[in-house]
This record gives sequence, C-alpha cells and structure tokens, in this order.
Amino acid sequence: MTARRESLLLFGALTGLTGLVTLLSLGIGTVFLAPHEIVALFWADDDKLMGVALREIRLPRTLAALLVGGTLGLTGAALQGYTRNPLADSGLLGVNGGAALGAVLVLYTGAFAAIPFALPLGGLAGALVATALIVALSGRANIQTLILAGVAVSSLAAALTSLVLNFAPNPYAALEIVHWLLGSVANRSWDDVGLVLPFMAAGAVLLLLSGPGLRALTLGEDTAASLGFSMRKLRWLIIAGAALAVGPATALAGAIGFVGLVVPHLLRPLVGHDPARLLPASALGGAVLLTAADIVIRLLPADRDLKLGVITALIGAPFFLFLILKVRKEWT
Amino acid sequence: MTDGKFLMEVRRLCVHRASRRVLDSVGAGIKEGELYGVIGANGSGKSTLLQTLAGLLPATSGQILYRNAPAKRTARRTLAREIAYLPQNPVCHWPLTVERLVTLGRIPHLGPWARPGNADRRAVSEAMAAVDVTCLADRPANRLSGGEQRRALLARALAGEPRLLLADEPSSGLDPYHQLQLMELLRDRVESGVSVILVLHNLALASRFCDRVLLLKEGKVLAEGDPTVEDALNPENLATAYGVSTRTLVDGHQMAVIPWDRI
Repeated sequence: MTARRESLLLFGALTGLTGLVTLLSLGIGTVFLAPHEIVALFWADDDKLMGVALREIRLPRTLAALLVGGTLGLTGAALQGYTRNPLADSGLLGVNGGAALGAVLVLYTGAFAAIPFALPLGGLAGALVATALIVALSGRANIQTLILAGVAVSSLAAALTSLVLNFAPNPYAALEIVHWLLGSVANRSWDDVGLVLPFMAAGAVLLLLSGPGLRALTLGEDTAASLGFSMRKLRWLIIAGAALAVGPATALAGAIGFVGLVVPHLLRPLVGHDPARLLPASALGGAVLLTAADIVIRLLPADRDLKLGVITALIGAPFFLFLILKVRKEWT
Repeated sequence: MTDGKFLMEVRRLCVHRASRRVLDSVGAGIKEGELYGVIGANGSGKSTLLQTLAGLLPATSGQILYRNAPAKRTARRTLAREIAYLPQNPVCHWPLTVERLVTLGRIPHLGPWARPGNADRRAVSEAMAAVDVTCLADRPANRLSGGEQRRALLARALAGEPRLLLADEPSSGLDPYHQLQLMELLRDRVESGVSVILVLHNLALASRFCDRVLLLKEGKVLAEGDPTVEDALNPENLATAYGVSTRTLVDGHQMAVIPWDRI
C-alpha cells in the first residue's frame, strides 16, 4: 500500500516537474512568455514573429532537450540494471561514440550542405555500425564480454573521431566539429526532431519492455533464468533498445554525458531500488534534468553560446567523484 | 499428483561444458515429497546436474522428465512456477529490503507489470516466517550477516511456493548452528509437501537429514539409495568417491557418517 502511494507521489512529482521545465523552456528567451501567452501563441494562426519563434525555434529545442534527456536517463537506467553496476551509463556500449563519429564524418565531408538531414542520418548510420560491431565482437557470451566490446568500440570511435579532426581541411571545419561534439539542442528544426523521433521511440519501447527481466536479474543471471526469463532475449532488448535510443539522441544533440549516469542513481532509492520502476522514472528525470540544464544555459549572462554538453559534464563529473567515494565506503 | 514413480527424473543424461563431458549417462530420479541429496567430490558434476535440472544448461543427450513429460516440452512459465532454483552463491545486486527481495520469488506468478496481490503477500510472509527472517523484513539485503542473507535468499526461493526446490550447497558458509537450522527447515518444508534436491558436501548432514542420496564420481552415478552405511554411503563407495575412510556415529535410530582419514 505504502509502496503504491510512494510510487504515485514520485511519478506525479516527476510529471509535474516535466511540465514545469517544458513551460519554462518555452517561455525563456529574448522575450519572456507567460504560460497563458504560450498557449495563445501556440494556437494563433498568423505569422507574427513571436508565434513563429515559439513554434519553429523554442518548441523543437524544448522537445529535443526532453527527448534526448529522457532517452539518456532511460538508457542509463537500463544499462545499470543490466550490468548491475551503478557506474554504467548510456555511453557504455560505444553506440554514442559511433553516432558521434558518423555525424563528424558528415561535417568533415561537408555532406550536410548538399543533402538534407545528412547530419542525423550520419549519426544513425554510425550508431548502427557500432552496434553491429559490438554484437559481432561479443557474440553470445556473458555481460562482461559485452562491456569489453563496448569499451573497445568506444575507443575505436574516439580514435577515428580524432583522426577526422586531425585531417580537418581548415580551422573552421575543425571548430565546427568540436562545437558539434560539445553537445547542444539549440537551433534544432522540426525536421531534425521528426527524423530521429521514430527511432528513439522504438528504442524506448524496447528498453521499457526489458523492465521485468531487469528486475529478475537483481538475483543474478542463473536465478533470473530459473524465474522464466530468457537471458538471450533480454540481451537483445538491451542492445537493440540502447542502440536505437542513444544513436539518434547523439545524432540530434551531439555528445551529452553524465545524464545517464546521474539520473538513475539519484532516483534509485526513491523506487525502492527496483530496476523495472527505475526505467520510466529515469526517463522523466533525464528529461527534466537536461531541459533544466538547457534553461540554465540560456539564463547565464554569457556573450558566447555555452554548450549543453559542457554544463552536464560540469555538473556530472563532480557527482561521479562523489559516487566513487560513496561506493568505496559501501564496499569497505 | 504424479502418476509415475518420479517427480523429476533423468535418463542417460550427458552434459558437456566447454567440450568436456561433465555428466556421463546419469540416470536418477526424485520422488514426490523427498529430501534428495546429491553428493560427491569437487568436480564430480553435482552443480552441473542441478543447473541442468533447472534448465540453465543444455543436455547434450539423454532425457529430463518433469512429472513424466519431457522438461523441454513443458512451458517455461510452468517450470518457473513449480521449480525454484537456489544457486551456490546466491546474490542480490541492489540493496532491496528483505521483503522486496523475497517478493521477487513471486515473479513467475505475476504478470510482467502486475503488482503483488493478497495471495502474493501471504506467500511472501509465510516464506519469511518459515526461515525466520520476518524480523528483518525492512532491512536492506546488503546489510545482513552471511547467515541472514542466505536465509533471506532461501525465503525468496520458497516464496514462489515451488513443488520442487533445487538448492546448491545452501549450508556452505554457515556455522554449525545455522547449518542445522537450515537442514531442519528444509526437512520441515519437505514435510509440508515440497520436494527438495540438495547438493551437499557435508556427509554428516546428508546421512542425517536426506531421504535418499545420489553419489556422483567423475560425472557418473556411483550409487543411489538410502543415506546409510548399509546402502549408498557404505565405506567402499565413500572411499571410491572421496578417497577417505569414514566412521559412523549412532544415536538411537539416527546415524551420521563422518570423514576420518585420507586414503
């Protein structure tokens, strides 16, 4: 009974927060919009500048932050549940490294100027290649092999990304690549969001379906199998789900770290350490955190555009250190 | 009710691990309502047998029958509901409370997203009471002593109200008091209708508490029968299986076999 009330309270609070950051993110900019103005402008059928700005600039940006944050939170929770390691995150399988490499190659070749959607498409292609590599490398072996394969693919993607940077034709191209890699949801169009949305949605569904299996996996692989779960099916749900979710997210917003690490960790005690309920909670929490970070960026009085990935890393890295200290204390 | 002789039976079972033959044409069976001990030296294939029975390892050849039907053709969910498996080193990876941990044993009875209902809560509290962890219900599972944790994980296995419990050395790592407590508890479960297959190293416990034993040596059946010096646990068998000589302690109707000297 109390567990149910706790659960309602938590999900109610997270949904409320999501609504709040959405309204704030839509309202904040050179002109501040109150919620009722947002609603009015949203349905206004005219070409007034503010309406266009809201519908074509702020709304896709907000949606991108919500979607990318939610995806990273969800994937982080799923991978932590699967590896039963609180330090795992959405970058573990190297899928986002692959996606980043794909997008960087598009920037390098200048294909984005010639082909519409080349950037997200390049990211998707990179994510798919990385996933295929991970599956080929790890075969049907255990979770440890999968993690090793992920580390190998990550390193390879990072090395190749450096190589591309190294060969950048001119400093501007290099700067553009670096800026993209820092991660941002600014200036995303409806087309950008619409292109990656189906993939992210499919990935999110697969990851959410892994919940019951992850709950059983709390007791280890053998016991989970004896409780009626196919470990092979669970593995496929996780790999395919993570690839479909994180690849497009990276393609849309660049490399944004630490959300997938921090969010599940903060929420885990609030769901009674249940890996299944942690999944939807982390999706909402990730959406809230990344959108809030994007609001902070816009409020900071900086004459230069501060990148979202920089902020999340600035918050995330100290948290990571804190986590290590906490884990160390728990195990000694 | 089982029509045939056995609740679970293996016939000419061969199992390979990393292309090594670990079980070689094993034939054995547990009757309903038995405490059945699987004993033998390290590497004799005890754990492999239990894992194969639990459906975790594929058989290379031979048959596994559960209630007279091939286990392979029985629905996974049915097996999960009726057979509980407790591995040699059971773990709980997240600091769940003991009650939540034990509730995980209800998973095969619940839909994937269903919350535990009244019947589930009753089974959980009965399982916790049976192994005496009720007072630990709200403690995080990672803050328990070794014995408490083992009992909590046993409660998890019992919470699914299994017809058959497969337990791999549940008494290892426990002090004598808790070893006896565990064996009495399993005995008690058997009296209330659960059948138990138990991998054991402790010959004294095997001879005192088991109804029948299976003695394995290098993946083959050396003996199956009563755990007495006249039957499966005769000195000759034990010398062959373990390379030790034994003495027998008799107390009234009960007797215990104790390893004495290396041969």
